[in-house]
Amino acid sequence: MSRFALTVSLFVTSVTTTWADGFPQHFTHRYGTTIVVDEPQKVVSISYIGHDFLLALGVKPYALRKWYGTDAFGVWPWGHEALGDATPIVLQGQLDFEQIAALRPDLIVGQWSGISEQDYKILSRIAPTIAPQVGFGDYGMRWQDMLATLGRATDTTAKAQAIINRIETRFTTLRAQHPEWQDASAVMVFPGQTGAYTARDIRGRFLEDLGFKVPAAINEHPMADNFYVLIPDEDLSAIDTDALIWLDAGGSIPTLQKMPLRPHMTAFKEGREVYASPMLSAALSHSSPLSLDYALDALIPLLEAATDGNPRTVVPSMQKAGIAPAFDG
Amino acid sequence: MTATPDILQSKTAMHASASDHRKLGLALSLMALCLLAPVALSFGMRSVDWTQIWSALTAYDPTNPDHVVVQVIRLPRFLSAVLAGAALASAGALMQGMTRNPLADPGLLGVNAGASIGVVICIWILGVSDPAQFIWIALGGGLAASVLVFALGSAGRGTPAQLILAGAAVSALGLALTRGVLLISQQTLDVYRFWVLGGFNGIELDTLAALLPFFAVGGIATLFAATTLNALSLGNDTARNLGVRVGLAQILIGLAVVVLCGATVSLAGPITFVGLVVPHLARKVAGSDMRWQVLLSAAFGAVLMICADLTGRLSLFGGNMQAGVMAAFLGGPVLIWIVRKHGGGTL
Repeated sequence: MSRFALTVSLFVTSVTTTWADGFPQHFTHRYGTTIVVDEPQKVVSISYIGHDFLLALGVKPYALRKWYGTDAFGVWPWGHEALGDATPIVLQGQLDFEQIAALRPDLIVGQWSGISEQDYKILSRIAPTIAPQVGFGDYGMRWQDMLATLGRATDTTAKAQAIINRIETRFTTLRAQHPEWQDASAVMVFPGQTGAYTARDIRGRFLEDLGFKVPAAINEHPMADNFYVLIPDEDLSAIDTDALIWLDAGGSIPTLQKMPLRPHMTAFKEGREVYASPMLSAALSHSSPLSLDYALDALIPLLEAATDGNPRTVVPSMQKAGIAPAFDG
Repeated sequence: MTATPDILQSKTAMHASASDHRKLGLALSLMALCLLAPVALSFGMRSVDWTQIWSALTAYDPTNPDHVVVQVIRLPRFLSAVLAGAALASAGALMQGMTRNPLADPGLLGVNAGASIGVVICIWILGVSDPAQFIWIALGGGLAASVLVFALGSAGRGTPAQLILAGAAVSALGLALTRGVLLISQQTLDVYRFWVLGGFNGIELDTLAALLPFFAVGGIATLFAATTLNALSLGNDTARNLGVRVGLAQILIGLAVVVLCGATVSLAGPITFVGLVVPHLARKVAGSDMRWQVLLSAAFGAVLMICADLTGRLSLFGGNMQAGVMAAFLGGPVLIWIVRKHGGGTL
């Protein structure tokens, strides 16, 4: 354990989140309060997407948690430039506390890691550990909050704020350019055991940041204590929205082709579906300062084609995947 | 379903009412199936009225979503549950009869373990996540594993006990390999964990049709195997005197079990317990005649599977609990009741 870092888990009721530079820095999260007393040199990221955030701030994690994909380090293309020739240690699968302890980290960050309180207790004895924020669920923290927190923890607050301002401005501009999206319904859905992300998930929040609304049938579903809601094969009405985005973590096209009731949805008949390729789906699922630009670049033209009010406008990704509705003539 | 007079008739003749019990049991379970069919076709997240259900079956209109739900989602699901329940339970009866072991389960021949390895490798290496694409690799893996079990189990004296041990060894090896892959690959686990529970979500009529020949072959082999088992139950020497070729008979029984179990595991995943518990219940009604045991097992198994699938779809269990889980949930108390009341029974 590092000499210059100290973890204190107290139930402090009010710690004001300030943008003050320097150390020590206090972090209030769902499992208590963590104090980082000096700038960390060895940051271990156990958040599935945390490395993207650190890399955006110019901090190369000493070790990171690989989520999925074929990259050796678990860093998707949007992070390659920032990663450079760094070779972080890759953690995969279940957390191995002994392995993490052996890394002798100065700071452990896990804002999108799903760690339990028990996990937190063990980890915080290894190094100061930043857990998810209160009130957002395991995978529901806003990307802005995750980035701002990491900015404070790594002494890069100005950089974090600049990134947040830039990307938020991009969303604001897109909202202004697309009045037709404001308060229109939209949802991101993964096929197979069909599931739709609520507005409390980063993917649902992405849509709401563009002005869309995730339907109440999903947000207020009785089983919606989770970050997603399962959609029954027999009734797709909850996801029959003004813009329906199909996410693909790999191999979902045959599933989409065979969904019995998909051709009966209005969204299908009116060409308001968007197919997100595995790369675009990953960019949306990361929703990181590095992947958001990639996601917006790729998704916006598809969304525009899907929501232009003309059922015959081809959504390129749907056509490429071979799942676009067929029109006669 | 008349039993032809044979040597076993004299054995059961002393129980004058046994034959009536069997016929009653069969009639009741067939009646239950007839009553459950409309329930299965009408029960679901979408309310479809009776006239629509009827016309979905008689005058199918692919542009009517109600018809699609009945014909494409609910009908294959119902038929699959009937076939899977009947196949597993009759295969279980054969297994228990052949090995004379009340704990024998059709999965013991390594079919489920082999199918699991096939599926896991399919997800892990080929990146397939659509269960409809698992069927052939599951069937292939299951058949390959059972061939290995028979090869190991028939070396030397080739007793039923040896076969069971070979099956247990191959299954343990398969399980270890499967778990090894699951530990490495989170993505494989995410797909596998639904498959491994066993259930009838998203089964297509095409899949069912493709597997139907296997169920048919398995079913016919089962009827022959049951007849042979009656003779084998008198001891191998007596059976030989009756003109039964013992080695060939055992292969036929094994074949029936493997084909039925393999077709089921590729259709619905590894559903355990049905093959273990239902034959015990059937034996209580059927007596010692294997043909009746197999027949009643099939009927009871189909009823249990439908009930498991229907209760699994109740909102009480979250609306889509896998039928494999519910079958054990419903079958467990039945097994306990049998053991408490009859002390396990003899084979």
